[in-house]
Amino acid sequence: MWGRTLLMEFRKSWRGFAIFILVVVIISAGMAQLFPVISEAFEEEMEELEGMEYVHLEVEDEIIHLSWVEVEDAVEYVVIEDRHPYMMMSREVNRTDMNRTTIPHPEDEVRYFAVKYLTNDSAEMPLGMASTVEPTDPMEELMDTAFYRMFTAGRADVTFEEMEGFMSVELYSWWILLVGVYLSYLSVKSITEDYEERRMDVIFSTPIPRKQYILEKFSALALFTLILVSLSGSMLMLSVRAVGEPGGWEFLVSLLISWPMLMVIIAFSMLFAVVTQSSRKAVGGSFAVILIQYALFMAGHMVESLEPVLPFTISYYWDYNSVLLDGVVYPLHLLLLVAVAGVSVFLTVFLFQDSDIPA
Amino acid sequence: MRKKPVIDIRGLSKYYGDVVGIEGLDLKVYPGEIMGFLGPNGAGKTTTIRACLDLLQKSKGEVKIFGLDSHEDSLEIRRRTGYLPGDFGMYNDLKVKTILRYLLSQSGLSDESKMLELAERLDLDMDRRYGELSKGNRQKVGMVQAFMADQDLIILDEPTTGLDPLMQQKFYDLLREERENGKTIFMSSHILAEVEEVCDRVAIIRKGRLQVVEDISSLKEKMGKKLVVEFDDGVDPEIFKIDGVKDVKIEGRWVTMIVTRNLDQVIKNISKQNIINMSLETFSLDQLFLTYYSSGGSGT
Repeated sequence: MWGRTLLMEFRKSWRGFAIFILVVVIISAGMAQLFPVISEAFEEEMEELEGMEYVHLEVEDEIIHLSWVEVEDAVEYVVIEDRHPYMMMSREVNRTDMNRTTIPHPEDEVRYFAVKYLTNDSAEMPLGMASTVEPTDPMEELMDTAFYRMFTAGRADVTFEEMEGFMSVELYSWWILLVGVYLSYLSVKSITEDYEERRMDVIFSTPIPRKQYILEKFSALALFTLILVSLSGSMLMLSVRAVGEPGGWEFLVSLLISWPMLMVIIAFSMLFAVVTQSSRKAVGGSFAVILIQYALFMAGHMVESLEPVLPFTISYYWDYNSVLLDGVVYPLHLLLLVAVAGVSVFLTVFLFQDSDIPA
Repeated sequence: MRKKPVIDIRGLSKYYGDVVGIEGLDLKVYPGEIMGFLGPNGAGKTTTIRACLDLLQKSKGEVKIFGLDSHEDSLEIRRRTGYLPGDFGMYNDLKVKTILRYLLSQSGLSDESKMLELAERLDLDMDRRYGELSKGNRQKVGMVQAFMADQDLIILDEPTTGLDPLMQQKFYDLLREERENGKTIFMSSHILAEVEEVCDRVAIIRKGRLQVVEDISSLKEKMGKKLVVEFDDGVDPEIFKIDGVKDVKIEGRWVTMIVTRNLDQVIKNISKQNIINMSLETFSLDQLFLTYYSSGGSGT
C-alpha cells in the first residue's frame, strides 16, 4: 500500500529531522541578524592605513626609503610587504634594530608595507603601515580578487554593504555543505540501516514492490527537504525584515530553488546505498561526490582555465545569485536538476530491482 | 494421489561467485504439512528459503510457490506467505504495536484480531519499544508478525532461537493448530528434537545439496532399529546372516546389530539360544542426522 514506507520514514527519523531543521533554521535566520553590524563596518569610509602616522615612506630613483618612529622597548623591527592592503600573502623584507631601511622598487609597482616590532619578551607588536600609492580599503580590494569570487559564485557585484551580497557569501555559498552533507547521510542511512539492522527480509516478505520501496524512501526525503528549505527560507525572510531590510521574498525563493539540487544529492546518496549496501562506503562515496563537485565549483570561479568544469557541477545550476541580485529564476536549470535526480532514482530502482538482499 | 505442492523447487542452485550456496536442489512441500528443513550452519537452509522468497536471485533452477514463479509473481506469493527470518530485526525506537501495525498494513490488512490474540498467547508486551526487548521477546515479535496475517504458507527460519522451553512448547502448539487450520509450514532448524516433535516430513541438506526427503516415521523405519541382545553363553555369528541385518558386533555375551528388515526372522533365530536380556531401540532423529553427516550423506 502506497505511503506506508514514506510515513514510517518520518516516524522512525522524526527526532533527527526536527533537530536538523532547527539547526538550519537558527543558522539561516541568525545570519541575517549579523548583517547590521557587518554592513556598518563596511560603510565606514577607509581613509587611511592602520598606524600610517608612525611609518614614513618615500620613493626616490627606484629605491623606497622606509622609516618609522622608534619604540622604547623594541629590540628589533620586522618589515613585511604585499601588493594588496589586506596583506594575506605578505613576505618579510627586512629585519633590523634601526628605525629605517631601504628597499628596491621597480617602477610603478604597488607596494604595501607593515612594520612590526619585537619586545624583550619576544612579543610581536604592530607598529604601522605605509604604501607607495593612495591606500584603498583592504576589504574592497579583497572582494575584487579571484579568491573572493569563489564565494560569490563568480559574481563581481556582490558586496557586504547589502543584505543580498552578505547572505550570498555567508549562507548561500556554503548551503550545500550545511544541508547537503547531512541530507546525504540521512539518505544513505534510510536504506543501509534496513540492511544493517536486518529489516530488509521482513520488509520484503510483505507485498511491497522494490520500486515502490525506493520511490517512497526518496519521496520521504524529498518531502522532508522541501519542509526544511521552506521553513529555513521563511524564517530567513522574516529575519531579514526584522532587521529593517525591505522585501525578503528573494531570500525565500532562492532557498526554495535549492530543492532540486538537494534532490539530486538524495538520489545520488540512495544510489550509493543500494550499490554498496554499506553505510560506511555509501556515506564516504556520496560525501566525496558533494565535496569534489563543491571544490570544482569553487575552483571554476577562481581559476579561469577551470571554468569549463562548472557545467559538470550541480551547484552551477542553483542560481541563487540570479534571484538575490537580479530577481531572475532560470527554470531550465531547475528542470535539468530534476531530470538528473530522476535518472539517478531510475538507476537506483533498476539496480535494486534484481539485487540480492544480503542475509 | 497427493495434492499439488505449495512449494515446488526444481534444480535450484545459488552461487556466490565461485562459492556454492546450494546446488541442484529439488524439494516439494505439500498443503497442510509441516516440513522440517534440517542441516548444520552453512548447509544452505537460509539460502534456499531466501531464494523462495525472491530475496536472492536464483543462479539456476525454478521455484514455484502456489504454482506461481517465485520471481515473476513474487508480490502475489508474498501476499499469501508469512515469513520469520533467522535474523529478525526491526526499528529499535518504535513500539512493538507500531511495528506490527505497519507490517500488517503493508500486507493490506487492518484486522488486528489475530495479532492481538498471538501477542497475548505469547505474553508479548506490545507497548514496549523493540530496542528494549530481550532476544527471546524480539523473536516473539517475529513470530507474531509471521502468523498475524493468517496466510496460507508460513516459512520459518530457525524459529525458536532465543525462546525458553515453555515458550517453545507454546510455539509447537501454535504450529500444530495452524496445520489443523490447513496452513502449510516450511521451517528450517538445527534443533532435531523440535523437528521430530512437530514436523510431518523432513528434508536434510548438507553442503548445499539435499540428502534426503522423507516422512519422519518412514525415515526412522528405513534407518532400522538397534537390537541389543545378551546371551547366557557364546553365540554363533551365522544366525545373524539375514537380509536386513547389518553392523553386527559381538562382544563376549553381548551382540549389537542394526535391523532394517526381517525382524521376525531375527527374533526366531536368536530365540534358538538362551537369552538373558534384550532391547530394541528406535533411532532418534539426532542419531539419523549424525548418521547422514558421518556417512557423507549416504544414510542407510
